[in-house]
Order: sequence, then structure tokens, then C-alpha cells
Amino acid sequence: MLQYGPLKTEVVLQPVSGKALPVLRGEVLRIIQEEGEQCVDFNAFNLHDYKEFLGVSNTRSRNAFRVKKGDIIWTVSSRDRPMFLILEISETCRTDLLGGRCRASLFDRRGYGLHTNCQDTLAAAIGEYDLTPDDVHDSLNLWMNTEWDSVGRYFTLRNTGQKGDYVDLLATIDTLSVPATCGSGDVGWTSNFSLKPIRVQVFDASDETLARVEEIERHNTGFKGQRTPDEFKVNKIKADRELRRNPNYVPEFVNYPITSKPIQVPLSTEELAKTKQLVAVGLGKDVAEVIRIGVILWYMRNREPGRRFR
Amino acid sequence: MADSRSSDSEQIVDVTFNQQQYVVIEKLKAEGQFGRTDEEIVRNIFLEFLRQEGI
Repeated sequence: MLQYGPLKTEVVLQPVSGKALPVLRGEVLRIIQEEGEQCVDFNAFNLHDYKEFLGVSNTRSRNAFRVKKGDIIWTVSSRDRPMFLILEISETCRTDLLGGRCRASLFDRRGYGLHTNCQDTLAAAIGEYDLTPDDVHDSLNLWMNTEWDSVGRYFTLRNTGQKGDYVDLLATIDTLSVPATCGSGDVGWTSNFSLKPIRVQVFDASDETLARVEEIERHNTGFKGQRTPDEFKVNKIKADRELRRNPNYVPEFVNYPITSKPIQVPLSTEELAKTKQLVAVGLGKDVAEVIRIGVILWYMRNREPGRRFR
Repeated sequence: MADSRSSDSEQIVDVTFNQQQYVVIEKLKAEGQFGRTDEEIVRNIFLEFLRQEGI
């Protein structure tokens, strides 16, 4: 386990509350189960540019439907940078990247009237930094024991969190981190039909945590598409709400238009027969497509750097 | 590396690659291990693919 810096901040979040906390590059955010069995919704923003925030779908597509120890939490695809590293996570902490966050109408439909929910809790917390309810984003859900079946139906099982469980997130950029105690859990398995507090701690950066951040940066930054607003064709944040067409705007799509180059490939009768076998099993719809797919698949398996080929 | 020669009764297949896929061929051409022309690269890589697939 890495040596962290000294404890810098500690707060206990009472049920149905949240807190926006600056967690800077190299610092560690620890989220602790004060009593156990409490789901935690988590939002985070780049402290210096709120338009860059935790990208749930980006994190999901780069890892899995659940994240685990050693996984990187990424910012949104427009920036695509590492935001946190999961340094430690209790075995009984099930994570979820599918559920988004609960909102009041879900409960009103079920007959509970205005019920606590993570959309409103997170909105109340980030208001301290002048962010609006529209700025709440899909949550990284911690201690949320969800499952899905083969046709995509999604459901929640009993919360498995234990008292004292914790998750340690190493910030790889300066963040505004926003943990919230999920407000849905008194009327479902999300938190086993009761609402409990959580404890949140922030540890200062240390030489070891900063060294880990630098290692992550070395391996995960500098790629095309990891853009800053300076590189955006449109980079001014709209200050009003109405959408109006800009008649002078000309989009610049990447590599547009797509063009093709034909390459004449000689195959012997035997080679052609083998290729047709692959057409027969559905690798491609004709011989030419099978060859193209075969070449790219070969590259993916044998030359793509760092590719986890499935 | 696969044998880059085809047999007597060779047939020509026109395979198209878009400019993004062609990046792969350029990289492999620069490596030099699989040939120097587009045709050699595509043919030899495809034969390597077949070999790895056990076909």
C-alpha cells in the first residue's frame, strides 16, 4: 500500500447529504462505510474547468461494467484523461457504472411523493461552487450491488457493504470531488431499506502518491484526442440557454471524407479456398472483406500497443 | 513469415482499405518484415493471419 500524506480533511456525511471537496493531484480521497450497507454516489469535476468531469461511459468502456482496484477512472471523452486511480477497495464494495443516479420522479411514480434522491443531493452539494442541477452527471456508484441478465434487464441486490469498508481514490488531476449518501436506499435494496452516514477523508499528496500519478501520466496521456479547450473548434461556453443555428459554421469532421485505396492481392487456388472457408463461417461477406478483416485483426493481435485482445 | 509467392494458378483479389486502415499497411511497410509493396504486405499479413488461425 502506498504511503499517503497526512490527513487533511475529514467529514461525516449524514444520510441524504453530500459534500463537494477539492482533492488535488496526488491527494487521496477515502470514502468509508460508517455503519455499512450504504450506497454512495460519486461525481467529480476538473477543479479548474468544470466542463471536464468524470466520464462514466468512458470509464465503463475502458474497464468494465464495474471498476476494481487498479482501474483508472477517466474524464469525459472530449478530454479523455485519467482522473483517479482506485488504489484500494474493500472486497465487499460492489461498484456500478450502469445505474446513473436516482432522481425524485422515480419515487413519486412509486407513490412516495418528494423523496430523497442523488440528483437533488448532488445538486445541493455542488451549488457551493455555483454549479447547477444540470451539471450533475451520471455517478460512479460505490457499494451498489447491481446485476443484469442476458437481455439487459437491470436490478439491485442486497447491499454488501460492511462497517469500516473503504475506497481510496488517488486524484491524478486537481478535482472537485463530490461523494453523496444515496437517498434511495430506504425504499429498496440499494442500502438495504435504511439510510446511513458515510465518512470522507482527504489525505495530502506524498512522494509515493505523486510518483504513482506521474507513472499514470506517462502511460496514459499524450494521445491524439486528449484535447484541451484550446484545441476545440468551438471553445466558448454558451452563456444562454436557447439554441440557435450559426449559419457561418462549417464542421470539420476527422478524416473526412473517408476514401478507399484498392490493393490487388494475389492468392493461389489453395489460399483462395482457405479464404472462402472464412467467408462460409461468416468472418466476412466476401473474399475481399475477409482479407481486409484478417489484416486488421492480425495487426490488433500482434502490433497494437497495450491492446487487451478479446 | 509466410511465403510471399503465390502458385501458378494465382487469382487477384481487389481489397480496399480506407485511409485509416491504410495506416496499418504503412506501419508494416516501414517495419520491412512483411514486404515492401502494399500487395506484399497485405498478402503476407493475411497468410500470417491464416496461419495463426490454424487454417
